[in-house]
Amino acid sequence: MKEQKAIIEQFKTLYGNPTLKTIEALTGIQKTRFFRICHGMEMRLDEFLILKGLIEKKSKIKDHLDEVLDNCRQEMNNFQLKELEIILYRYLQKCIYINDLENSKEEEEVFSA
Amino acid sequence: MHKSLLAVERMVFDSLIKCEKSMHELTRDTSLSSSMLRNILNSLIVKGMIEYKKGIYGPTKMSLNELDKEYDLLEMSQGLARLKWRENDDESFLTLKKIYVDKDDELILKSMMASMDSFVRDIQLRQSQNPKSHKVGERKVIVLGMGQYSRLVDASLKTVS
Repeated sequence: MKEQKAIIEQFKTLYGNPTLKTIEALTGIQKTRFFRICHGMEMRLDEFLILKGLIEKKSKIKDHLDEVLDNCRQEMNNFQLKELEIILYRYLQKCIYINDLENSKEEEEVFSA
Repeated sequence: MHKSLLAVERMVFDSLIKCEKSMHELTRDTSLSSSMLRNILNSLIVKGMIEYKKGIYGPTKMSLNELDKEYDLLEMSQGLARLKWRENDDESFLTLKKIYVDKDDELILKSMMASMDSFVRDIQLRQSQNPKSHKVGERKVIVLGMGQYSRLVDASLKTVS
């Protein structure tokens, strides 16, 4: 159970706390099923493997991004790095707005159901 | 924290520059969802762009800096390109041409662009006299510009987008 909780947390963190709808689209695991798993129902092996596969996939993207950022640190001067930081920050802000919006839509769906 | 505005924040700011508003009026004027609007209003307050008094939001300043204008243009152009070329939106119009223009044609082109600019300014002036006549979310975005190819390429190398 401890491992199950850990893998779910890792998955959520790596995918930026996705909504249940997004999780369903990503994993193929039904929203209600995933909700129950998050609240203590035991996960099946196939579900565990799906999550593990997605975590590995995302980790690879993350590693690649880290590599690109390392290259940026080496190749760019301070001014260029500052510009990059601003662009990334602005994009991050947009993603936060969009994720919040999707989460609130989902909450509304749950409340109206 | 960077204080530059995102296009979505800019739209809320534009709405408040027209006139101060309650949350409900802002939702109607911008067509943004109330949950997104709440987050944007918080961000604008933190950035010192707006203030909140007795249920009403209002701007603390009436204009934006040059950097904000540059980001606004960039995001609007990117939005237009996305709508037109990726999402095949029929309501959006966008054209990009790279052509050699001789002196005579350049004069004609500049004069046509100046009259287009003046036409748009006239509309803007009329609307500023009656700010409640339209919703900010229903405004049309017009991008008009021209520059020398090599100079634009040079400038583009200095920008990250």
